[in-house]
Amino acid sequence: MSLIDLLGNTLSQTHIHELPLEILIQIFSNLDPIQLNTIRLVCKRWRFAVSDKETWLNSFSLKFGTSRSFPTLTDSRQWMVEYFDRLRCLKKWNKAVAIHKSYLLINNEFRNVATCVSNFNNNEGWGKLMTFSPRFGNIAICNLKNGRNQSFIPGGNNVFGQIFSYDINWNYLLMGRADGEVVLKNLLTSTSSGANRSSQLTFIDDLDSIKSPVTAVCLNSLTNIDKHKQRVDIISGTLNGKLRLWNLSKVLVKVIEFENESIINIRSDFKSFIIINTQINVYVIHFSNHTILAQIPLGFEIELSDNTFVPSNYFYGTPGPDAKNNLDVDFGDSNIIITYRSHIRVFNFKVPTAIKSRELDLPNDMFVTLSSMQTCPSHKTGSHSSRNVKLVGLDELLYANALSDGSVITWKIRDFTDKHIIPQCKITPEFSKYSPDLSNYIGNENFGTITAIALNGVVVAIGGYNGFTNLHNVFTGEFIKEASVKYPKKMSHMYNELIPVNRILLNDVPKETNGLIVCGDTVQYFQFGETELINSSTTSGTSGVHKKKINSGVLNKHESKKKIRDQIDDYDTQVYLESERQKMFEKYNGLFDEEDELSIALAMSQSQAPPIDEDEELARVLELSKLAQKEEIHVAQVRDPDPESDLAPATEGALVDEDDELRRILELSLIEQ
Amino acid sequence: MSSPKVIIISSEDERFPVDPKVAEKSVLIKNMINDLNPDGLTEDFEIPTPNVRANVLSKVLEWCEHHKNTTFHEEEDDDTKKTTPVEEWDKNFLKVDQEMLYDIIMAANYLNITPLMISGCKVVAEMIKSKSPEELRKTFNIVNDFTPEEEAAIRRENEWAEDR
Repeated sequence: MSLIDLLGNTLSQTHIHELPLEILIQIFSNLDPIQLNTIRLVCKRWRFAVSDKETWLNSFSLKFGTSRSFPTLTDSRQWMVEYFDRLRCLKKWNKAVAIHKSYLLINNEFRNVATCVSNFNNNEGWGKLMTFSPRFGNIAICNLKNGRNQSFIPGGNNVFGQIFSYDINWNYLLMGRADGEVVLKNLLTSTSSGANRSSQLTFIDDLDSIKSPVTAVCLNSLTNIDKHKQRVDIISGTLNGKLRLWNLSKVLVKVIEFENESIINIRSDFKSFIIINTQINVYVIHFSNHTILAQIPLGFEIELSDNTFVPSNYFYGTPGPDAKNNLDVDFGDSNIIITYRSHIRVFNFKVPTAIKSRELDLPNDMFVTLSSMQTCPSHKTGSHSSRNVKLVGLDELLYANALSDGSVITWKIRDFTDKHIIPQCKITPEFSKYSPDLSNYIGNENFGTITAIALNGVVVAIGGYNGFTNLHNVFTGEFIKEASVKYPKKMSHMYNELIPVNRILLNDVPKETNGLIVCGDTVQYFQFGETELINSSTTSGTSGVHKKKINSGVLNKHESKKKIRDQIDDYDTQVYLESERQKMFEKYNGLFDEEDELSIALAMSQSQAPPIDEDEELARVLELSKLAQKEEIHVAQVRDPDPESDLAPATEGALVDEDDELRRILELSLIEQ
Repeated sequence: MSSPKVIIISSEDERFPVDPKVAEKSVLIKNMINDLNPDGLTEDFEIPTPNVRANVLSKVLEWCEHHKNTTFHEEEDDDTKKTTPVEEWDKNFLKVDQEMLYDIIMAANYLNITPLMISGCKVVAEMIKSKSPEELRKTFNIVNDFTPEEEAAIRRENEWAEDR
């Protein structure tokens, strides 16, 4: 290092250039990305230090609390792009105008919603929500943003308590039953009457007379349906350890046996791997040639009881102690995540002969109550994904767990620098004082204070009871706001009963700031920031019954007409004000003739203390008018506090705060490239 | 009977006797003491620091003296360290001319006194904040070594923040 440089050099004055590069980087790390932009213009050495990755990592971490790796919002390799988007996104979560919409799911009175499928980013503008309750096999589908266009597919007879495993997508519902049957229901042809029998297929292995309960199923989620039905699209596993691979024409392609083990969970990308877990092992199986690539011992045993696979009652906020383990697979980076009671494990099977593992064991009888992988587009974790470490933040992926002590931890799935899982943050949410007091419901040890979690690359949403949901920063754990609002009075049960939040869904595009809270039979849609009006009517036929429900008791015809008239008036006023403002803008920007300019400048100078003598004033005004005509110069001078241009930024500064202005200019210059 | 001292010798051979507790704020010195005297100090211990001038060393030791009872965040507690602002005392302490500031930072770096170095870096960062390139060159007496063409090119480029 600099030890030798300085010997015999003691009398000369130390210049900033003598600081070693590491220290320069350390200094720059304390700066905002905006400031880094300026710095790189100073000299070559500084520019070099600014482009160092370390500088950016630290600057980023300083600003957002992200630390070395984090999920990217932009899929960009440019830090600056990521910086602006993250800033904008956080601002939206924090400050943007919120839109909430509460609605009821009809025919779902038993409130056993266990799983939800949603597509927020449907091109037609209306995402869909599908909920499924495994206790009864009922499915409800509706518009995600307002609950309209509801349709209902009943589970039918002989379903209650029979569904031991299920998987669902927009085309099919796959159910593994206690009586050993695998049933596939085509949701596109199913009707609410349930009479259409042909929409249902039953898969039976004729060679096996033992009807062992089907404890795990997995369904290819791809939307393009294989016409020839030769491809393996369905995988099922039984209590007696038989893994079966089927295609859609009910042909059994392959049976793999695991003696003395039960198949508890199955995941597959339907391309390269099938991942299953039994009581004691995780297996990685080659999708096409069906060989077992890796057998990974868990190091603990998953206990199975009579209740393990029976769908639990809605009344419990969290799965009971008998519940099976949780299995998630990040196919983008070949990570398997297993959580069970006090154990959290991650296995990386990129090289199946050399499995890497990480772990976290909770202390003091604490256990995991909920597990959730980061919500993200399928190109991150799905079948055709692969991690791109060249992206900003190393293309990280997050995971969250709710723990029995009422806290939530978030941690990084893809970071194998340490063999222990080190939480990014630990959050103990405090729900609103209006949320139900659990002490009134003593007598059931299954009450966990946290009943649902969801996270994306920016926030983690934590749900409690009766819809109450908090949003926290996913990196720092800092409380952002409540995502939920009061329910309409007509949903009186939300005030009278204890109902856990079943699911929280966040938009899978990480930049978006909307989501859903599914709580029993009520759903609350929330959105922060700009959007089209929610209430604008859709073209397709609306369910009449439901429409009435929405309008009833709020406004009668006369009132609503009056309201519309008022709104039009408001709009007109706004347009007028906007045009006035525009005129003022033009004035100050010099689009008017010189006389006008002069009078304005004079008026302004008079209103501003201290008074200046007129000659100087005139010179300044002339200067100003020249400047204003050249807009490019004008923009540049917003950054240079040139005393002569003081007036110009001042007039603008009144409208846009300086910080924003700066950012906008920088962004513009980026876009121009 | 006085307890043994650590004597730190500057580049000009000036001797600075200090308490071991004070000297051990420097991880470099601490390790040196522990390596050479695993059973603890029994007599005075001399450490030459040939690349630290006397005036800088006395400043650094003043800092160590003030912070001898302060416990700093653990090394791995990276995030909290970065976000906390510079402590008021440190801020005043580091109100020195630029040359002295750089010397202190470099000495802190050499002696491995991380908290002092971080404070120093933050103070320099404060000086950089909200200044234009021109002002920065003036403040830090830096010669613009870009040609006008290069400068224009930098203003235009946008790959600079790429992860690499």
